[in-house]
Amino acid sequence: MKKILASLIVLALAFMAYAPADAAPKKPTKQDILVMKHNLLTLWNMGIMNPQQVDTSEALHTSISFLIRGQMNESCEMRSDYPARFTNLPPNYDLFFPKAVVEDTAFLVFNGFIGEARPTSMFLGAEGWYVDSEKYYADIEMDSDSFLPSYCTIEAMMQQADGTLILNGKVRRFKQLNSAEEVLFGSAPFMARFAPTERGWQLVTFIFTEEAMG
Amino acid sequence: MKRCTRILLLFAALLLMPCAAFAAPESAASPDTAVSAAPAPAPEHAPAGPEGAPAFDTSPVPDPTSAAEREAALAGAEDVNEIDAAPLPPKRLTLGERLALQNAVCVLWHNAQQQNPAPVESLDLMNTDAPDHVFISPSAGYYFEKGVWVFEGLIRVMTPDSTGIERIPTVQYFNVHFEPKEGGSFFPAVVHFTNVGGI
Repeated sequence: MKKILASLIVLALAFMAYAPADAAPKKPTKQDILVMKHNLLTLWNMGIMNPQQVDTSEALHTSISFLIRGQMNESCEMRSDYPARFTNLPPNYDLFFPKAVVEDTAFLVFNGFIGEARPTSMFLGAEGWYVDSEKYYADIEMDSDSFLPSYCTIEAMMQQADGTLILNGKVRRFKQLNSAEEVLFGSAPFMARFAPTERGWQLVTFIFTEEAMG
Repeated sequence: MKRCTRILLLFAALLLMPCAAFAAPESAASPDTAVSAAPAPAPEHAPAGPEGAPAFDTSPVPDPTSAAEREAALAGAEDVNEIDAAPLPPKRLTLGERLALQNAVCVLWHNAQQQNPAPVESLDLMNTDAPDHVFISPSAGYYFEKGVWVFEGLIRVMTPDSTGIERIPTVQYFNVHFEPKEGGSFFPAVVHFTNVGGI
């Protein structure tokens, strides 16, 4: 009986050791790719050309700016829609971002964690961040050209043996000039590397190379 | 006999451990689910099935001729005012779902440009890539009612001219209503594409 028990345990251990090694790298879904393209376009529209431009001490502000710029519909609760969320808060706080969403954005897009810096336009509640949008917009500089119609194309995509995904592509922006048409107003080829994590695809590094316009 | 049962139970437990371990990453939050972690939703409405969907309405609708509407649409920014006026959704779309529906609008538009467009029912909208260089600038994307999501805005098609300069010669206004289908997918119940003058 002891022999049977021992052999069963060995068999089970062997199964446990073998199976993970057999697991294939996680493949991105179609929606994953759409989200990657959208996030890269949002970064470019924010003027962030590479990770070195992001000050880690401002990860909170940058993450919330990223959400305001690209994911308002999905991540933000406005006072007008969710008044109970803002009970007993000064009326100038009118936007709410769940803590988990902000932290996921800091981790997945900016490769970091929320630091200690607290912008004066934001207030941390029990479940998330409240933003004074008037003060927030007054504090930041916005380039109106960055709101022009823009899109992102993927020209090459390859998955490495370690599961990371490398994307090469281009972002473009168009403006209506004196003519009756919109013409290319800005473009930048990019390279980006994403790594699969339990929280989703993490943008490990990226670089946009702005092209000179003729 | 007792010992034998114990051995079998131990063996079953050992076998189940790795299965549980493998199952966990699959159920872990994807980036899409992560960004939609907003609390809230009220009880979900019973989704209307595709059987109950109205016939396709592809008749043209009037252009958004007001200067303010045109300007807002051309700005390319998301119009939160539209959402203010709409009822709150029982469940928000994830970013991935919203982008997939926007991608579907481009696929529908591309199909509509064909000499012999395929029946919309035959299109696999959620799994078909939009054609290159066709992109949309949504002016609104909001919950309507009974699980229906409405997207509207402008569709642009980039075409290099003979000198290689990349241009957008035509812009079209779109208004698409997506009804929910079983399994979390959507069906385009109302599809409008309209030429927009001035560009």
